[in-house]
Amino acid sequence: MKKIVCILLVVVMMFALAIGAGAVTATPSAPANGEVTITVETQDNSGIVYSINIEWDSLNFKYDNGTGTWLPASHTYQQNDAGWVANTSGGQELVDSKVNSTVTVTNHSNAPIWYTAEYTKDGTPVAGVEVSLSSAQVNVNIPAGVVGDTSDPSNTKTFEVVVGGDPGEAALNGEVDGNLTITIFSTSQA
Amino acid sequence: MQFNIHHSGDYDANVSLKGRKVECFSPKYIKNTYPQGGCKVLGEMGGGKAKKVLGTVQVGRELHEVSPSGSKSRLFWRRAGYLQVGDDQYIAVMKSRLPFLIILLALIAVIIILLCLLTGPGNTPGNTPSDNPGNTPGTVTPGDTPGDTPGGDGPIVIAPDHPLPPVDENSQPIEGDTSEKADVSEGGGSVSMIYSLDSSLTLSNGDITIYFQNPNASSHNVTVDMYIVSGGQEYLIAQSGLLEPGFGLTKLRMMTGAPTLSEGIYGGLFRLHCYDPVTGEQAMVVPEITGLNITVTNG
Repeated sequence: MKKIVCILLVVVMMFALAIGAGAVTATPSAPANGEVTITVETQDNSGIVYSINIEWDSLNFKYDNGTGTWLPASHTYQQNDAGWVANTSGGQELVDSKVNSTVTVTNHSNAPIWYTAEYTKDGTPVAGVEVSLSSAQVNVNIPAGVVGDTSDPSNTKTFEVVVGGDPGEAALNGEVDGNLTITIFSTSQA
Repeated sequence: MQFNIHHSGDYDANVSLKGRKVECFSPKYIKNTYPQGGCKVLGEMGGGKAKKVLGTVQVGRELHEVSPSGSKSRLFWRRAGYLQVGDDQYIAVMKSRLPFLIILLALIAVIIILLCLLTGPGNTPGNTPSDNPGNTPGTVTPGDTPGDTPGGDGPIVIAPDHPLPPVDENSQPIEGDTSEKADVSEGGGSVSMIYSLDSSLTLSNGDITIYFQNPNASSHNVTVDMYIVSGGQEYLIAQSGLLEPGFGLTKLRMMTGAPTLSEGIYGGLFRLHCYDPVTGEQAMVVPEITGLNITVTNG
């Protein structure tokens, strides 16, 4: 008899442990008619938490129109080749006469995300400047964060903003050409 | 008609007539003597040739023409004195107001010129030469022509090239945020966003509940614009103030002029603007978070 009671108690305890990893709150309410009621609530902590990081290298681009650098000592110009100048301390690279600047999107959420990146010119863009992305960034999927690893490469995507073309005199004016919009979706847009 | 002057020892004033001083009663004397009226002014004399002659009056050896009372314009002539010609009967001696009028007009002209000099173009109080927020009279903004002198008293306030929006009053430090600043390249940036897609809007008070954080790892301040997306159109319903790295936001306020909504669930998005914390310059990168579920209740 005692063995049966002990087995039953152990089984009950096992079921109690299997309720889940969620928090359990118990709130006793005020007694009424000599009774005490305990309300048990379970809290589900498995909700989606979205956490996205967007990082970019310098997106200020410099064009040398080839006039050259003035040398006061000799009153002459030190001729430069006309073209785009990469700001290497700003993370830019010169590739095929065009400047590349890297943009990184990282998903630290516990759910996958999709993103689309698009460069849109302002109402008065700088004539002659060509801005593109290294590859089409449409509906790019980044899987959910890997449990226990915050730097898993599968949670990161990169692309480059590529600037080329010949802006001519406009390059001297420091004008703004446009914006890079990165739109994040919680579901695939395919 | 010939008027004869009654010489009186009570004369209390004198006026000049053709270079000759003539004793007479002052306007104050007449007013005090006849407080209820009863003084009869038969005519007016002085001030050049009369258009209509009522009669004449001899003053000393001079004969002066008398015109009907009221024949001279009160704007340019005033009654300087009164000569008694009978019981309660007088001839008014007129003097020109022209010198006084000339002085008055000159004074008004000087005042107008001074006002124009003090409040001329570029110096008008309240003039705001640019759209920079925080611009006040006496503020110089980039792009002003050198040499322009702002109006108003007090020190000159120079607005920054890229003024930052004010910090959102509802922003709160993120508890337990131990994230480290990202190592970004010179001129680059990094924005981390922690958010929930669920939000609620109470129509009765315009309060919007959201969950958005700008962790300490971010290099830039951000502002959050909240839109409702309906029928492919975006409708701006709220804008946050500045959120600095390490701060989060759980409350927005529906803005004036937002579209009229009713109870139900709407789709929406966040659009972020990132600002360099030092220069205030807005970054070229514009993150957008779609898929918001906005539950609207009456309250």
